[in-house]
Amino acid sequence: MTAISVIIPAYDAARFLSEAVESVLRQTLPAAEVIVVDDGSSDATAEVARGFGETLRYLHQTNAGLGAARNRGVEASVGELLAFLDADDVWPPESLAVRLAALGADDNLDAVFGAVVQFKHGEGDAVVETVAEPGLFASSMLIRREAFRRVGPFATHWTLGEFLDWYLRAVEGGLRVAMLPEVVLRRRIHGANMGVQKRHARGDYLRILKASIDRRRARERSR
Amino acid sequence: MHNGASSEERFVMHDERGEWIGVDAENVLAEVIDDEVMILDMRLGNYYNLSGVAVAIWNALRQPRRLDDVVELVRRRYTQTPDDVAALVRRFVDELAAEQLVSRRAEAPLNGGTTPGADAAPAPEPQPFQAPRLEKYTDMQALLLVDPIHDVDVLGWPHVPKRS
Repeated sequence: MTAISVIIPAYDAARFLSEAVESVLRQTLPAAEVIVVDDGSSDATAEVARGFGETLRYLHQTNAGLGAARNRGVEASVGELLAFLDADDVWPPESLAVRLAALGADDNLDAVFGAVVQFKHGEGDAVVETVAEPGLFASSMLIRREAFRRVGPFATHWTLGEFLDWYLRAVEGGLRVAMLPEVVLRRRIHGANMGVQKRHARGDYLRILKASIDRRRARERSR
Repeated sequence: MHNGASSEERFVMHDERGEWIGVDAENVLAEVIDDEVMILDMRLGNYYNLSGVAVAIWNALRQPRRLDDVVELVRRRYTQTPDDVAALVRRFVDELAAEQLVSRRAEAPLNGGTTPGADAAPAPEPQPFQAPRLEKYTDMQALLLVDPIHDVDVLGWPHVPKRS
């Protein structure tokens, strides 16, 4: 069986981390290792992670951002395949199994993604969720280590959109991916503060897209 | 609909000089980066790149203007403008409108819009004219649409637009 390393970057994630880790431990196809990278949290993230004992590896770093935390996890991992799960998201039990089946069935594939359902806690116990949509997120990807190495690490200088940047580089480099119809990720949306927090960083998206266009033009010119 | 004492005059102007055109700031993110404009349509997940004359036109349309005024601005700012410059500018603006990056209104904007010569910025050194072009990219729709950079308050996220 192919070994999968699961990397969970966590920043002030005490509230949801247990749910994320438990969803990994409940996979019908078990991961070879689970690594939680604490990105300098000031809450009880460390205690929550350590509460899982030997079932996971806990790494701590000075706050350096989501991309840096994922990269640290990749460096520390040994599996032939890499999967990422953000600390506030959840995998359905079959998530790794369906992705591995698809990746294992086609040697020409570098990575697979699956559908995502995004959910949000409403009033009381109510949960609002989207219909299943193709999910292009780090948390819905299973990728061969060698393919990840070819694309390179996540950029660490963007406030927002580090995965957009990574995925653009992957596509430019010819990464061969498949999108599965099965839901492999439940992604938590946090209340009304999110748009406010992120508004100032939206320009990052435009700068990331511009950088990609510039790279594509440079490649065209060098042909 | 028409504000102020000059409403009758404006109405006549509208008849003679056409609609007001302005950037759709509600649904479109745009920024000048390295002398080019990057535009992201948050409804469809398409993104666009403008350079040269197209940048000048886009920047002009950040304040609603009439097509004639945009053409005039291009004539003033660029050398070697061809005889059909008006048609070229119109075609470009039509393209922006077809992509719903700009919207047209029959009536004058509340602030009166912008008239020729009202630009605060000093005129740059005139450059040779090249036909404005809109470069459109659709390759990141799946990622840009599903990632909620939209305002939670405005769109009531979670909100994934239905695709045809």
